[in-house]
Amino acid sequence: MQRAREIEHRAIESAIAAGHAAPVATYEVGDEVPDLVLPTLDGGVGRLADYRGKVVLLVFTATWCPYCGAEAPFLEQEIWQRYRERGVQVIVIDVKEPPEVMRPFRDRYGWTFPVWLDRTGELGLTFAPQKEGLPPEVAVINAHFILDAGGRVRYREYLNMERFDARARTVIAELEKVLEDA
Amino acid sequence: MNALADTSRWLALSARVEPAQLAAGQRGRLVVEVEIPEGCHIEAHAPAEPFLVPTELGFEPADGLVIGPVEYPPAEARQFDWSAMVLRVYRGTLRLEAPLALAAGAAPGSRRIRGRLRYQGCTPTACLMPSTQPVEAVLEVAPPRP
Repeated sequence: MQRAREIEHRAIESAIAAGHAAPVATYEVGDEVPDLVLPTLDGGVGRLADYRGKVVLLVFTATWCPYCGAEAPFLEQEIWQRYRERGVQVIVIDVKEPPEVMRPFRDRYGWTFPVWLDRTGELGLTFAPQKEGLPPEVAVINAHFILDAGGRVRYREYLNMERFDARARTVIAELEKVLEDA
Repeated sequence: MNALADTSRWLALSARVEPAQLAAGQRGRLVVEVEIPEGCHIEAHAPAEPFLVPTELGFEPADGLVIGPVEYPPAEARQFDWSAMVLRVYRGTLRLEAPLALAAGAAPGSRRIRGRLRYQGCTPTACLMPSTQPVEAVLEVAPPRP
C-alpha cells in the first residue's frame, strides 16, 4: 500500500509539473497515510510522522470558507481542549492561502493546535473526494480525516451542506470510537 | 444541480449602459446583472464575518468617464441549520448599478467599459474559491448635434 501511494504521489507531481489535470488519489478508510511534510504557520516544518502513536484529526480549511469559520471555535473548544489529554492531535491544513491570511484567522478563533500550509494545494489532491465538476483543491475544503495511532484512515468526511454540523458531533463520535479501540 | 463547467467563472454576467447612447457631458447608469445558479449563493458586499469575501464590482479607469460608486442590493440574511452564524448572501439574480458621467469633450463612437466582479460562493455541496470574472459593457457616444 505504501509503495502504491508513493507511485500515486509521483504521478500527481508529474501531472502538475506537466500542467495537466492531476489524478485524484483519495485516501480511503483503512489506507495508511505516508509521512506528510508541510511548512507550518509559525515558520517551522510539520511532519505527520512526529504524531505516530497518537490519534490524529486532520482538517482541511480555508479562511474564506463560511463552513470552516462556523466550525473554527468548536475545533479548539470541543475537540482539541477536550481530547488532547486523551492522545488526540488536531492538525489543520490551510489550502492555498498565504500565512498572512491564515494567521489572523487562527488568532481570532484562538487555535492552539498546529496549522500547516498547503500553499499549492498539491497535498489536498491526495485527500480530495471526486466531486463532479469540482477541482480537488476545492472539494477537499472542510474535509475531516481521523487517523489512528498507526497512521491509518479510520474515518473521513467531506463537506455536505445539508448535513453539515458546525459542532462536528459526528467527528467527535468517531474520535470516541477510535479511542475506545486503541 | 448540474456540475459547474468552470468553478472560477460560474456566474453568468451581463452589463449594459442605460441609456445605451449618451452625448458628451451626459449622465447614465451602468447596470450589471448577475445570475447565480439555483441552490447556490455568494457572499454579500458586506459579509457577516470579517474573513468572508465580499462581492465587489470594480471598473478600469477610462478617459473621460467617471463611474461609481457601485450600488449593491440589500443582502439576504440566511440562517443555516449548521451554524449560529447568520450569513449575509445574495441568491438568484442580482442587479448592481453605478452612475456614469461622460466628459463634456468626449469623442463620438463606441467605447468599451471593462470591469471585474470579485466574489466567493457556495454550491449545495462545496464552497468555491474566491473568483474574479470580467464584465464588459459598450457605450455609444453620440456625435455632437450640429
